Amino acid sequence: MLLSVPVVWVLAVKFAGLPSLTLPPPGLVFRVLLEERMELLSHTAVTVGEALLGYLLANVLALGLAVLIRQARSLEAFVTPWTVVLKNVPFVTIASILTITLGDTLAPKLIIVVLVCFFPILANVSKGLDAVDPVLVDRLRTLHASRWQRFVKAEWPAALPYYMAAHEIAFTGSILGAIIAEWFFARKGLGYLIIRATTEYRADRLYAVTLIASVLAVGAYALCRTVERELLRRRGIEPAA
Amino acid sequence: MTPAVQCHAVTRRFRPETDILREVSLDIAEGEFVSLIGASGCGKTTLLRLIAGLDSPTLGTVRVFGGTPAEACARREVGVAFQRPALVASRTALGNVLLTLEIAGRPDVGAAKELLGDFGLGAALDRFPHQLSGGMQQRVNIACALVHKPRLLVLDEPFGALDELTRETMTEWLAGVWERTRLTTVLVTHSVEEAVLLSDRVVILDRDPGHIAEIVPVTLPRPRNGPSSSTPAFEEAVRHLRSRLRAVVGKGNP
Ligand SMILES: Nc1ncnc2c1ncn2[C@@H]1O[C@H](COP(=O)(O)OP(=O)(O)OP(=O)(O)O)[C@@H](O)[C@H]1O
Ligand SMILES: [Mg+2]
Repeated sequence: MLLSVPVVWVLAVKFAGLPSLTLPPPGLVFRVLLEERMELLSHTAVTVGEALLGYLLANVLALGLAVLIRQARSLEAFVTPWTVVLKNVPFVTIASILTITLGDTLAPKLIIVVLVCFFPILANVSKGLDAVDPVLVDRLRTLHASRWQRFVKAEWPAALPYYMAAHEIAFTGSILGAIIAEWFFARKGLGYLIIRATTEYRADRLYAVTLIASVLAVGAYALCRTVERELLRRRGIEPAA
Repeated sequence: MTPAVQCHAVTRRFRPETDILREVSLDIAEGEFVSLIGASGCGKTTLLRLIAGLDSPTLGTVRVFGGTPAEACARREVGVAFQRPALVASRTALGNVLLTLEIAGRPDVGAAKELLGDFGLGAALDRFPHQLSGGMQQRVNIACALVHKPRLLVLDEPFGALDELTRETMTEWLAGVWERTRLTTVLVTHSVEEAVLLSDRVVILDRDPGHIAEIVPVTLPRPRNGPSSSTPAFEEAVRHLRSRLRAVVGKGNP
C-alpha cells in the first residue's frame, strides 16, 4: 500500500516521458531531500511550530466557546452570525489582508491556522455536547448533580468522539493553513520554500517540499486515527481495521 | 405519618388551555408500591416527572417526604429509571453504577459491586453498555437508581422495550428486589400483569385532560413472584384490573 505512490511515480516518469520539470524522477527529489536536509528541516520546523501553536490556540478558543454556548444559550444567537461570516469569507482573502496589515510576523500565520482549525472543532464539539442523552441528564438532575458534574460526567463524554473526529480535519488543516500563510508573506517555512522554488524553476525542490508537507499531513491524520482507535478500544469497541 | 408522596390538585399545562393533567390528587404512603396505568398520552410520564422534580406543576403542589421534590433530590432520596436505560457509553456497568455514587458524593466501589452482584451481573461488571443485552442494561440502569439507597424509586416503563419473555423475567426479578427493600415505588406500566404482580394500588388514569379515573387496590398476599403468579386469585386480580381499565380507557372508543 505504502509503495503504491513511489511505484506509480517511477512508472509515470519512465513511460509517460514527462519532462523533469513537470515530474522530476524520484531519485532527483530524494537527492534534494538528502542534500538540503538541514535547510528543509529548519523550514519544516518553522511551519510545524506555527501549525501546532495555532492548532492549540484554536482548540482552546473553540472548546471554550462551545462550552460557553452550551452554558448560556443566549450567546448562540450572538455568536452564530459571526461564525457564519468568518467561516464563509474565503480565507485566502483574509490571509492577504492579514499579511498587508501585520506583515511577516507570527500573528497572521497563527490567525490563519486558527481560522482553519477553529470551525470544525467548534461545530463538532457543539454537536457532541448536544448529543448527550437527555434521559441521562434527567437522571443526573434527580441526583442533584451540579452543572459542572453534568458537564464532566455526561456532556463531555458524549462530545469526546465528535471532538476526536474534528481533529482529523483540524490537525491536517493546521499544516495546510500554516503553509498558505507563509506562501503569502514569509521568509521562513515550507510555504516560503514553495514560493522560492517556483520563482527559481526548481521542480525538484518543489516536489521535495510537497513530499514533506504530505508526510506531515498524513502523519497528523494517522496520529489522530491512532488516538481515536485507542479511545474506542477503551470503551470496549474494537475499531474496524 | 405524612405520606411519602403527596400530589395535591396538580395541574400541568404545556400550552394555554390544554391541561395535560388536571387536578390530580394522590397520596403514596411510605413503603407503598403504586402503579400508574392508562392509555398512551394520558400524562403518566408527566406525573412521574413532577414527582421526581424534573418538572413543576402549573397549579397545585407536589410534596415528597414533606418537602419539595427538588429538596428530596438534594438529599439524594430519589432514584429514577426510564424506559431507555440512561447509561454512559464510555463507562462499564460498574462505572455507570459508580457514577450515581460519585454524584451523590460517596463513591463506594464495594457497594456498587455488591448491588450488581445481587442483580446477577457479577460477571458483567467490566462490560460496556453496548456489550450488554437489553435486559442486562435495564438491570444496570435500575442498579444506578438504587445504589445510593434512595427512599423513593420512580420507574417509567422500565421493561417497555424488552421482549415478552425477558419482560416477564424482569418483572419477577423486580418483585424480588422490591420484597427485599420495600422501597416506596411509583411505576408507570402498560402491563396489567406487571401492575398486579408488583403493586399495592394501581392508579388508572384517563385522558383529555389527564386525571385519576379510579384507584384499584391489589390485596394479594406477598411475596407474589414465583409460582403464586399463576394462582386463581392472581388470575382473578388481573381480570378485575383489566376490566376496570377497559371500562375507563374503552369508554370513548368502542
Ligand atoms: N414538554 C412538553 N411540551 C408539550 N407537551 C408535552 C410535553 N410533555 C408531554 N406533553 C404532552 O402531554 C401529553 C402526555 O404525555 P405523557 O408523556 O405524560 O404521556 P404518557 O401517559 O406517559 O404516554 P405514554 O404511555 O405514551 O408514555 C402528550 O399529549 C404529550 O404530547
Ligand atoms: Mg410515558
